[in-house]
Amino acid sequence: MTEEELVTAAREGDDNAFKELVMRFEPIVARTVIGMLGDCAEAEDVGQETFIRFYKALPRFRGESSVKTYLTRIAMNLSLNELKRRKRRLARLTKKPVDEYHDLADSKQQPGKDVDKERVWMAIGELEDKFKSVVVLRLIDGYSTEETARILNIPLGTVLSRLSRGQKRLRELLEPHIGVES
Amino acid sequence: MNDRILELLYRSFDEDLAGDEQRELREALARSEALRREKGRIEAMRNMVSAGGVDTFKPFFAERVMRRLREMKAGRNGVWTLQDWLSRLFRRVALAGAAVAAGLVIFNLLQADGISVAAAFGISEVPIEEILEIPVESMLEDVS
Repeated sequence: MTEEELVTAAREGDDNAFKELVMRFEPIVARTVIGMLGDCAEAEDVGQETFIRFYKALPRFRGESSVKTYLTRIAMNLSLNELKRRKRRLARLTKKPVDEYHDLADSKQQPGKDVDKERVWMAIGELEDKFKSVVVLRLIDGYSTEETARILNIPLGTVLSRLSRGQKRLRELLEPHIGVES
Repeated sequence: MNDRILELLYRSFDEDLAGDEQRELREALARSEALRREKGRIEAMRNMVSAGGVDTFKPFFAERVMRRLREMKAGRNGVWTLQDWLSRLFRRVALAGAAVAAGLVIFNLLQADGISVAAAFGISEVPIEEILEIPVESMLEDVS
């Protein structure tokens, strides 16, 4: 079944069609949410909530944007909300700088988890949210800069400048781990 | 390596530079070994970040979403059923009722001479002897 057929069927109450959509778009949502929050329990919750919101929005979804873009937008908004919640929680609990958010995630090394991925999450976690969102959409999700601007509803110029600043910071943070022959 | 060239280098990965900017960057790259190394490191960093994506949540993610969906449809999570509306309405009515009752108790206590449970509820304390002293005949006359 095509994406449109699945959406139509799900809108008409076919739960199997919706489940197929969830399985098909899980990678898209996972990349955005885990990119933003790290691989933690909150990421799973936000991932589930993304699909629940999509389900509720199905009657209004007319396909002006693709399911992929629509889901990414929901996932990004929910992730940004979760980051705000984390910061408020962290600010209440400690006097630590609020951007140390990956301390809250399950950032301790898990058996078999790729060390480079951990480093990337930690580095992305150091970025301000506005830089983090463009870096995740552009570099991890692979959206074009124009698509990134549309998803975040900000001007293209803003995306480009945030991307440039975000990458400079990432370059500094990942410097010791960048394997390149000089 | 000046800041302007470095800025052009970063921008070149995500946007089409203007003709003169492209030429300026190309010439700088041809001249500077350090800039070429920097370009390689930025590319490596971008590859590392791109590879940092995770494509799946924990196993059976779709099943968990569908379970939440079923719960939601069953009214336990997000959708308001008649029972939810009634319990919400009752809570509001109960709170308003409690506020009115508290107001009445305070009013009664302010009106009474002393503080007692009877005074709080506005019950006048008539001694039993006083009730018994009323002649039955006069009560019957009142009734007729």
